[in-house]
Amino acid sequence: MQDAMRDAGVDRLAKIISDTRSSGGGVGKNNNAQSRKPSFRIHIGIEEGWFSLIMLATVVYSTIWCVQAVGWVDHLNILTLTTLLGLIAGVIASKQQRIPRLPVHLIAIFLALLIAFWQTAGAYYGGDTAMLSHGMHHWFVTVIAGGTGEDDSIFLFFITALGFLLAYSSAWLLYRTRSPWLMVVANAVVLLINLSNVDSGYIVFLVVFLMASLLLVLRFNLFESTRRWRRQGLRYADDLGWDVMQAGALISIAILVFSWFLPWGYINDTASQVWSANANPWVQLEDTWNRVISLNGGNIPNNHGNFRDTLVLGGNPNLNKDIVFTVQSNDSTQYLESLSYDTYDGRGWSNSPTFGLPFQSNAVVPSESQVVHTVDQQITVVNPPGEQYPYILGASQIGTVNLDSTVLGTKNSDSMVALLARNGKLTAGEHYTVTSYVSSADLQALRSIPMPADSPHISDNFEGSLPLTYYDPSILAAYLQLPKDLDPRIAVLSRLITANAPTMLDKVQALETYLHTNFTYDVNVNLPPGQEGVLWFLFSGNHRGFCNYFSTTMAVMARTLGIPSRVVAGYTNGRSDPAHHDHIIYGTDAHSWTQIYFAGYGWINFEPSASFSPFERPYPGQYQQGTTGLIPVGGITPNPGRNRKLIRNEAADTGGPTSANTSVQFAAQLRQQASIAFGAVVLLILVSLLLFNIWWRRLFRNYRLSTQIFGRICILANWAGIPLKYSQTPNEFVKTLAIAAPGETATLEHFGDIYTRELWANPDSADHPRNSGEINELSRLWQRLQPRFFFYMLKHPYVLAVLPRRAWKSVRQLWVKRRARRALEQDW
Amino acid sequence: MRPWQAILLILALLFFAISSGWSPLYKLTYVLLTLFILSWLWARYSLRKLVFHRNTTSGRVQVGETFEERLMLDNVSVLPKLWVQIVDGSTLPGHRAGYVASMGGRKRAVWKARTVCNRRGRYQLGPVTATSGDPFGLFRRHKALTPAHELLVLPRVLPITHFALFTGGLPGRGRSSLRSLQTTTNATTIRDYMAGDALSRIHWRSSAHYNKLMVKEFDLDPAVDAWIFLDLHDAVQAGQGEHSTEEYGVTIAATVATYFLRQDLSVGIIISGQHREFMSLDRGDRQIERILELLAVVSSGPGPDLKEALALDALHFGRNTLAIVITPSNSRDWHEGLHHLQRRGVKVAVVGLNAASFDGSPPDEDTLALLEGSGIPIARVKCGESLIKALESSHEASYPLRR
Repeated sequence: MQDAMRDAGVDRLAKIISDTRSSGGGVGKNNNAQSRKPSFRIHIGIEEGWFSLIMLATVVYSTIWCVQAVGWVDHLNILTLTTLLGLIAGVIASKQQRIPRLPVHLIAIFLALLIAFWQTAGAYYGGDTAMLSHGMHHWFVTVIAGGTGEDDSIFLFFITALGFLLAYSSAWLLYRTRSPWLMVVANAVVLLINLSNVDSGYIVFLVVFLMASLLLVLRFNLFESTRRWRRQGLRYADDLGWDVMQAGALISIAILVFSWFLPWGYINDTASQVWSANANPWVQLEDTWNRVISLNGGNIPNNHGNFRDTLVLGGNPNLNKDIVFTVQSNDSTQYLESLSYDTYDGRGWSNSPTFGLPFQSNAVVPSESQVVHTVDQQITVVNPPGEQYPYILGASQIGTVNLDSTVLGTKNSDSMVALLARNGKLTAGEHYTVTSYVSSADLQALRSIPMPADSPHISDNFEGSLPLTYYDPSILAAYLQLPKDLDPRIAVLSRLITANAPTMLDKVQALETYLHTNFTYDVNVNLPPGQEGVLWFLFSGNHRGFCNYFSTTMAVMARTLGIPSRVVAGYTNGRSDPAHHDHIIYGTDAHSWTQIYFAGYGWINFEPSASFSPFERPYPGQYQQGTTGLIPVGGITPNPGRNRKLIRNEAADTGGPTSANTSVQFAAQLRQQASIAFGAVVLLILVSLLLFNIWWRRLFRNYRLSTQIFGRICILANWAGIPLKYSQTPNEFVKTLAIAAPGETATLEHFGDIYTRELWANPDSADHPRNSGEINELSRLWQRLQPRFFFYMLKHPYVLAVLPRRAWKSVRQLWVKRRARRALEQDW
Repeated sequence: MRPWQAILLILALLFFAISSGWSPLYKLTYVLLTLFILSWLWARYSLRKLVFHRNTTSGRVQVGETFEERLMLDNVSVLPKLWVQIVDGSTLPGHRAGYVASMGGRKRAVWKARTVCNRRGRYQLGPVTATSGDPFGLFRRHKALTPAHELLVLPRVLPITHFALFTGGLPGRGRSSLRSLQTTTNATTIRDYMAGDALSRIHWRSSAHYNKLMVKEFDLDPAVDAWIFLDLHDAVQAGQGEHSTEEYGVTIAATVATYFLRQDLSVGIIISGQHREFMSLDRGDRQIERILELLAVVSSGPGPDLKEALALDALHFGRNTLAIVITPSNSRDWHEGLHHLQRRGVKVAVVGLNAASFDGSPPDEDTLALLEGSGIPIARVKCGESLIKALESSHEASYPLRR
């Protein structure tokens, strides 16, 4: 077996040990070289190599640029500079050995705060530090008093300081504590938090981050190994580092590609509940952070709708006129709902703890109301809105969607809050079809529903058929919530407005009309710090505000009357585009409105905002009760008695394909699969080319240049069907290659001449190419010949015909060898 | 990162992934999981199907010579090995046989280790262990390739052409008082056969005469017996490493012993160092080897001092005996023992190592001059001086005038 082995260590045989320390792995050479050079030579460099620094910067900047992509506030571009400063500070701090760690870290924190202060003052206040100091003081007083800090400059200050410290600690973790993995984990946490707030297209940051992280870990581990080998006096080949990096890079690419094609999207209900539990430290931390540094959403650039799990009353949302969606529907009056909120804290809305319930594509989400009809909407994404989660928009309430989704429901009332796409946020060009339950209740029917206080009360152990007017106590508890210190003047005003309204519908309509007629729609308002939103809007805000104020005020006033209500965010129905039979939804159509809960009929839309038209109600008998359209009856058949709610343990994946699963959808799926297949093929080709390139560059690398070129020419010619015959001399063979490169006959002959003379000429004679200087022409000759040979080989792919034959021959040889070995083993 | 930390991280990521259903978390989990599994498999595979060979010129070498060995690592697998760290646990000073090999499939890495041996002693070559791991540093594996074996570094033997202390003064050849263990041409007597005696030694005529098996006994050839006393008592040693009285003494003893044995004299050696070492008289190349092997491993220690050693062993010496004492001692205690030998007709000589010169301290009183005055030839050796010159042609080593 050893005879069969080729001796790869010929060159290494020359590396004979001497007992001096000057021969190992090039170390000694360096030592000797250094000893000969003057000691005062200035050397700027990093022991771990510049590559490690470049990869470190890539890791940190992919994180920081993701923060910038989220666009939390204006002027985030300053992070680029502060990160650079942080990196420099981190490298210097980790490389110095004189100052102990603690003082160094304290200096770094001080520096971070100083730079952040200077940068923030420059960005927000034109360099006026006094104004920033005043703003910080005001923010501090507010936060200490339990209020919500809304100054964007404070957020910028904190994020800048944290950016500096992230870069600093990354360099420290890498170069001082020698913990590259810890550094990667720290950056990954920041990256993921920010990545969850941007469109799915920004996942490129994650790709760059992962690739750079893997290469950095690889390089760092190689450096640590070589350092250990030097310490142990072990020699190693000079190209070992290159081999390791090459193999590691290929493995990294393979891992990334492999991971990208694996399935994902499964949600475990139990795990999801643990994660979203109120007592979860992360939720508490997030709440505290949101309270302490709450963003004024008005300053988000390019805002064409921004949906998060909190709705802050805030200032001007600066909505632009970007086209967000185009909608084709059989009812163009329907708004698009994103999500609803149940908890009001005086300055904004949020949701009580939620749970997720997975639904497959086209599965049916049960209706929450009794009398509904269905509305179909085909929605095409043009510019995806800003979303914290991948909300699926549609008329309220969505019944089916042709995407895998997760229903988000509140735990305390089991009411549906939103529908989330399981495959991430939708990107431009994607489209989906939703079928929604829209209430068919007319005014007369709604007027018959009593106030919750007047509805029948039923004990928990009641097992009979519940009356239509029964209100589920959990819904009342969730949607009558109000801040404890809500000013009583709001309730007084509500009662005053609704004094003459006998029924619940009349009261709600009275509130809607009051806001419609007495208030003006104006986006240029801002809720003063420390003030409760509804009180300010009703009594101090000059009767001006935008949709968030209107919807919030109506919902809160309704709650003061004991009417369950909530605020919903989404888009209005946009504008008609007759040319394409579409409705176009613009950024300016982002909106919030109010929903009132009517026993038996569920959530009914109301439009309190001035200058917006109220919702149209069906006239009696317009829709036949129980009409379900495309949705199977089983999905929405009213449960007699108790109001229908989401049942968490309900088997939700039972929905089969409906008629909505049309040939168009099939074609779309086919296109998607074809795209994936095409992408995979392209990727495979690219990877193959990369591998071939690496192999081709390393081929014959231990030989002299002329031999390398001759060997490559032989291979290419062989692939093209011009094999080298045993009887041919190099010059004869080169002449036969004239057909492959007809215009380069002279070049080929010249090369053959050089090659022959380098091999056999007397090294001391003037004819030897090394002495005549012709050896330097080889690179130029090869640059001319190589493309021609490749081109000829592609035109005459003889290798493709031979390859299967050779492969089969190899397999047969292998098989024969294996049989022989087995026979030998049996004999033994 | 250690494997358990990686597992914890993967579990945490997995939890976040299945609790949120978020694509980046899934991808991150997959990347880490794939990396973990791949690294584990890589590390497991990296030390399989390796064959290691170590070709050493011989198991013994002399101080000053170069010890060379050729090491080979064969990768008998078709898959490449990215890096395999070969660590040699050799105790030979300055011997670096370790290497980090990077090999393709079915390839061999060959390297040589060459070391100039500067210290005598018994050393260990190996054990050789191979270490490898994955490129990301998650897993590391070790494997023992070969066990340890011994290398003996014999003391330096200087090429002296004559020994100045006994030039023209060797005693006449006499009969040895000791019986030989080997068969010689001088059969002297017979005795009863004892179990273990060779059959070739049976004297059949006497056996027939006495009616019992009788065997012949042999004398050594008539020769001059030379005894070397090497004083390695730690109380009198000076200097460090190669430039110590211990190493000088060992080198002188090896050189003198080899010289006498090449002159076909019988040589024995008595060393008082860590223990009392006694090697009986013998001659020939085998005796050279035995003496050098002994000298290779002796070291100074609290054994019997020179006075005691002379008193213990002088009883065996006859008139045809030489005694060469090699000592750094400046004491007069042992002089009497030497005089006693001299009075018994033993030819005595002293190689005195000047301990003060090894410490760099001021010269002590020259007590050897007293011996010199009593007719004992003395060779004085200082640190850094040429030993060959001192042993061959030192003017001080000439015979004093006989009284």
